[in-house]
Amino acid sequence: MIRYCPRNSFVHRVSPTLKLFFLVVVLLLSVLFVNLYLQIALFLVVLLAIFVARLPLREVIRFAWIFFLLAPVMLLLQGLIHPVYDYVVFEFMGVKAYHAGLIFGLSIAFRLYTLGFLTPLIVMTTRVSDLVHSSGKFLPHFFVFGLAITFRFIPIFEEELVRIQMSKEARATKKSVSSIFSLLVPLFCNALKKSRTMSYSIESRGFKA
Amino acid sequence: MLSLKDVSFVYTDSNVNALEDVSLDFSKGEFIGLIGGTGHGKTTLLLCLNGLIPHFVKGTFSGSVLVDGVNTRGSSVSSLAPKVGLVFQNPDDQIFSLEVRDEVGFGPRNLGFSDKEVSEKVEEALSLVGITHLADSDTSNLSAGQKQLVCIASVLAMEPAVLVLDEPTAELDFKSSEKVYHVLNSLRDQGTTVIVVEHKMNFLSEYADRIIVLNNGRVFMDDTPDKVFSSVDKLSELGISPPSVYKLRDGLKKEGVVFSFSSVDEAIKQLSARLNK
Ligand SMILES: Nc1ncnc2c1ncn2[C@@H]1O[C@H](COP(=O)(O)OP(=O)(O)O)[C@@H](O)[C@H]1O
Ligand SMILES: [Mg+2]
Repeated sequence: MIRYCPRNSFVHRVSPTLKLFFLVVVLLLSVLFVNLYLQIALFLVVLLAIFVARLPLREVIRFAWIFFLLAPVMLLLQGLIHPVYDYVVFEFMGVKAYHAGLIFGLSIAFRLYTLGFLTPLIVMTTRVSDLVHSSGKFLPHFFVFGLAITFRFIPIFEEELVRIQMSKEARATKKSVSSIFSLLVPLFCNALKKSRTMSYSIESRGFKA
Repeated sequence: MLSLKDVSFVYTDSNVNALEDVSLDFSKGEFIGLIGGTGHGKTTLLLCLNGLIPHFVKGTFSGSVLVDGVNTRGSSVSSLAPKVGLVFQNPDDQIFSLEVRDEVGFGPRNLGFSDKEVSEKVEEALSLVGITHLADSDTSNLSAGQKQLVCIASVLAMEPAVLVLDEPTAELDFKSSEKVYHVLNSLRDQGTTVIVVEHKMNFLSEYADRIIVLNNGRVFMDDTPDKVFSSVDKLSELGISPPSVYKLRDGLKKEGVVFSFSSVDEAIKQLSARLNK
């Protein structure tokens, strides 16, 4: 479960504001530039932070697995269809892998790894109340609410999904693509209701932008 | 100290008046039970008390709500927070901190108290509701009753003069519910005004000084618990079931036997005295 994970680490002690800033900078760098070395460096920084924070790797990977899955696919796709054919690095079953394509694919893969690890890094090392309190001083109201509620809702979403799934299964609903959508609808309705009450409650306890 | 004058409210996307011409006055140290069927405006009324209506909830509001003589229209919800504390129905929609201590400290921190003052207020609030031992607990590992007490403490930490609760015992068993009412009762004894929406009428007949019945957004009755609960037939029409002792008293009265008891203990005493004669 991706939720705050108390540890006495440097990363945990960094102010939430600084962490938000870090998040934005890493996101921007990783989305704006395709340079492989930069992407590897960003990935290593995030990985290092995860180790320094002594986060449980199993939980982190459980969240990031979809990115792990996506990365090789992107590597292959991007690598093979990349338009620059400089020189062939290897050939496999008649498909030629070009150097430029591989580099490009790798940098995309690392970008995905970075993004996949960044979310648990921030969420698991930051207390929601600290985040709300410190960012509330300089960020617009709605944005802070959004952040607090997103943080809070990642575990709630997981729980809710299991609950709705169980109640559907208890009524012997067949699994299908449309049944996934019919899961999502109550999920979002419930989340919306919860988030509204939560913002009222936060407001009622004297929070102001 | 808290008064509503001709308050009406219609939610956006709705064409019925959730509240209609509600005028009420609440005084210091009163314990008020707010009852009525589902969808009759109880929650809406509570949202008016601390300014969430009209400041946050979308809809058309008319009339006025005065807190200590100050109109809620002209003051922000955060400035009303230390005066009127609102506890919502479901604790899971309110608790967002990992540790109990942080959750309870959220309010006072927002009010600008120093770290030292905040932790004093947290301790005080926790001890008021009797959960000092949970201060360092993980909020997600608490029982429903404990979560409800955390929510109450997190509002009490701001030391509001009026404490408002929406169905605080909806998800609690009898024992936890009783605990909540003991806490509310001792707060009232210290001068806090308590306003509570409740379906478990036994608690209200035991603790409340005054019962307000809402029906279709209007005040249908506003009187002492004894007067309100004696109107067994009127309440049944609204789908409200008064405590069994009142039903018993009402049934006996219809048979021509008049009693004045309003609790099980009194009933036992009066009935056995009469039967032993
Ligand atoms: N967010 C909302 N949007 C539209 N209508 C609402 C909303 N909340 C409540 N209502 C309507 O307002 C009326 C009063 O609701 P509410 O105050 O929640 O009743 P109670 O708390 O007594 O069950 C109901 O008819 C309900 O359907
Ligand atoms: Mg309600």
